[in-house]
Amino acid sequence: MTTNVDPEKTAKDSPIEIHLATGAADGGASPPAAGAQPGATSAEPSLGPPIFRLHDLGVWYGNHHAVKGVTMEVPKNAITALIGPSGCGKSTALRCLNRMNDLIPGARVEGRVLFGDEDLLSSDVDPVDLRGRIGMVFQKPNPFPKSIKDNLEFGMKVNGIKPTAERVEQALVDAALWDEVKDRLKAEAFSLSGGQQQRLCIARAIAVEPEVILMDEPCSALDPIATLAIEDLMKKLAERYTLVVVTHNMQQAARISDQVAFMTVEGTAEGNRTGVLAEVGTARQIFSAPKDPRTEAYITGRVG
Amino acid sequence: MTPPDRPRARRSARGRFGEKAVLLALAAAATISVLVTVGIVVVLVEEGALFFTDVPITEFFTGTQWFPLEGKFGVLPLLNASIVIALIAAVVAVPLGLGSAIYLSEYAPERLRRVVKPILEILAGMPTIVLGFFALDAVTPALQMVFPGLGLYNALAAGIVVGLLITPLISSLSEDAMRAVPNSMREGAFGLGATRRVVSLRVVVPAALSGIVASIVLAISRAIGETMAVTLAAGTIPNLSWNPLEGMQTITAYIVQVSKGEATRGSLQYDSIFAVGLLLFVVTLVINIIAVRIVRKYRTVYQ
Amino acid sequence: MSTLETPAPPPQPPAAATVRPLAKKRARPSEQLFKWLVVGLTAITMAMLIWLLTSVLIRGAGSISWAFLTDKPSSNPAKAGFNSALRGSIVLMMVTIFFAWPIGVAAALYLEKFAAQSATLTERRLRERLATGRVTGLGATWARTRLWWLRIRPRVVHLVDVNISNLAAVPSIIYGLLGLAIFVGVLGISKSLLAGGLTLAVLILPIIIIAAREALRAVPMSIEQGAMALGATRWQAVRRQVFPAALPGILTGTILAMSRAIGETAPLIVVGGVVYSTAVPSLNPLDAGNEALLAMPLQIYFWTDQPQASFQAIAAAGIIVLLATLLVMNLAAIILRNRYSKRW
Repeated sequence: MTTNVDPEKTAKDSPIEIHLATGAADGGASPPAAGAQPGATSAEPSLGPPIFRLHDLGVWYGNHHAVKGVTMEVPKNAITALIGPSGCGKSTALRCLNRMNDLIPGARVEGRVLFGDEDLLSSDVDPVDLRGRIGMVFQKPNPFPKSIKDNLEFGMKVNGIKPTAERVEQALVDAALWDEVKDRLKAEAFSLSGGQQQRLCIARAIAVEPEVILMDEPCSALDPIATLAIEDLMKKLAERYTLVVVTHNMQQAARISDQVAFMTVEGTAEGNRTGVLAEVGTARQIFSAPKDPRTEAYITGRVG
Repeated sequence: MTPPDRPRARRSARGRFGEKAVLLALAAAATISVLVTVGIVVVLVEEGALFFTDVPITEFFTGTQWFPLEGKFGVLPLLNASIVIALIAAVVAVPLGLGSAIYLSEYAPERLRRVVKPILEILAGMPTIVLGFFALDAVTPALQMVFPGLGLYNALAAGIVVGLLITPLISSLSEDAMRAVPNSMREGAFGLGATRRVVSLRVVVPAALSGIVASIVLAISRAIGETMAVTLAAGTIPNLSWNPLEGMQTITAYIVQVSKGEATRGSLQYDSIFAVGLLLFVVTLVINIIAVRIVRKYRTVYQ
Repeated sequence: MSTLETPAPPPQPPAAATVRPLAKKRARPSEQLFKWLVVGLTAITMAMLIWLLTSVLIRGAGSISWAFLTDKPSSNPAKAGFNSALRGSIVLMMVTIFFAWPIGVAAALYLEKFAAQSATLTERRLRERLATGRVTGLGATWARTRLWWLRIRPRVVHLVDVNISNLAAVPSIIYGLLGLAIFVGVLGISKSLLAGGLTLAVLILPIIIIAAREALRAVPMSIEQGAMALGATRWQAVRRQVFPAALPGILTGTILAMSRAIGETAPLIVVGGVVYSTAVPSLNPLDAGNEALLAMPLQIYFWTDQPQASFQAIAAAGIIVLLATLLVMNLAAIILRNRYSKRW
């Protein structure tokens, strides 16, 4: 995809180039096979301005260098997918964006993550407050063992939002769950199906009015139908929120994302395995004309 | 002999008979555990029944005076004392036990936890006679500085040391229940911008509530059955009172008092310890069954 | 990040999206308060333990001497020794372990390795035998009885399970009443070390069964199945492979059960009363039936119950000896566990 128009591009010292292009990745039907859609012929409109700018992000767990040298930007109001083989550190990188790694004993994060213009990794930033603004949805649905309503109200109370019935309804409507649960808001969250639980977790995240929603393999524990429902929801949410989604499912990344970051694993001399960022680009570019041979190997199914 | 027959022939040989005998012996050993229960029930009921032929059961349960030498067998003072001391113990042990459990499960770094937990468990293994000595020798004198005029024997000191005894029971079982709450649930709450206190109190504790409540119930049962500390610290005078500063005799202390002397087999006093023992057995059994029910009924199953 | 508002010439980095500024880290008093609350409660618990240990040590250290360990009891606190109590406890433990260990381990083996196993094969064999019609009369009744037993066995085993865990929660003084009525009353054993040891054996039986079952469960099935695949019967596999592998765990559990028994006071008082005796028990467990029931906790109770302050000091000294014994037993259990514990 050498014709890519990239007006804002600067010559960074990182080998990784950042492409901000193409809106909602062509309706979700793009197959992962390379070459299905040869490179863009027209100048693609750029995505919104970056909300996150990661610079040389690295994570250590004790002596284990889990992730190193991630430099990329995350456009606002778009879906960025982090893909790569398991163990490549994509979830670890994601968890830097709302400082969840602070909670892991022995975890150390280096580099910079600019949110707007401020480094959110800075020690004088309040991580608790930050997490209220940057929501997160996890791999396995993790509703609290409370009622559906209590699950939603929990986050609101924590963030000082008055938990009104309207807000509860709105969050459930936005998460496309309202019609299914409106008659049983007092029911236990565990009584819902897996897909419903995950949408409840999304509603719970929306209810606190975040600016960004991080999703860590949100569909990996769900069946295909529930997965499609969540994907539709993600595309709708991207109109209002910035989404960063970790997935190991390339078809999913192709269906939903505007921008794709491919991470991979490098063995180090000490036998450690460290996650690195191989390539970032628009979904179309990554899946049709990957520049990095590792990306190509992965998406054509030769690796991973 | 054709080859296919050989294994079969060997199987039915002497070894197989020997194995049957071994299995039977093992099964007999397992039966003994059932016999112990049967034995306890039979002994308590049989000897207790002898007592109730002499003392009407209504008098036993409604009488407010327990003076065996005068033939007054109203069990309420003993039962009341057991309950008062168990409640004081709970008032001491619930905050200490839950606080330690929350600290160990949610706050303490792993290395500190590995040091603190075994130390707390020393208390659980402390012989109760030691706690009784501690109550008499240290706790009561200390309390006398706060409450001048406090007698040597009082329910408060007994309750405090029994509370100390059951604290590790609460902290250890509650901590197990809290650690069984999946980490994903904590992360979900942290991800919404909750603080550690909110995560502990509003997510982890409610999710572990059945285990926590069961641990408290079990601890109270243990406190009611506790003997030596209360015998030494609360005294041997039956006293129907809710005042923790007074001395009082519990069910267990009465059994000890009678056993210390030479109550002859067949005497009413001898029978009376089985009667109150039966009451104690039923009370603790019921409480234990409640605890098991709580765990089973309200346990949340996490995938 | 300083040039946000400057109109960017083409080579400039893209302007960042505008977001509200990040909140600065702020003190949350309720957070701090709560943290110090739970830290404080933990610290109070530990402080109480330290208070207990130091008060006992201070009170009793002066009375600890070689003579204290070797002297007989005496009504004169200055001369009173702990030797009889020490010997009594040793004999008690021998009696207790002699009865509780084999029965407890055998029960655990049965419950864990035989009763809980599937009996589909036996069941099918019995059914086939009945179906052929070759067995008649008594033989058929016996086969039907066995079938019936195999069918109800899981429920019976569950009941036994519930029973054992309930037994472990029965107050120890109740075991004293059981011992008094059965061993002293029915069997006519005198109020002796034998009666006391039997009572403690019954008391720790459920604890040993539970510990032994856990140790047996920790041995992976593959070991047993491997042996059985080589043609061993289940009993051979269990005896030769599973049991030796589980033995360190069983012994650890046994030591911990013993450390429970050695500190028990109430059941011994109920069985034997509190007797003042200057006898020195023989260490031969075969004499246990004739020796007065003396034990460390009983002696400590006897001294604590005396009004004179001088007895409190020797009571504390007795406690120090008892706690030191417990410490040694627990250390032995820990060493045993660490040395032989295998990760499967």
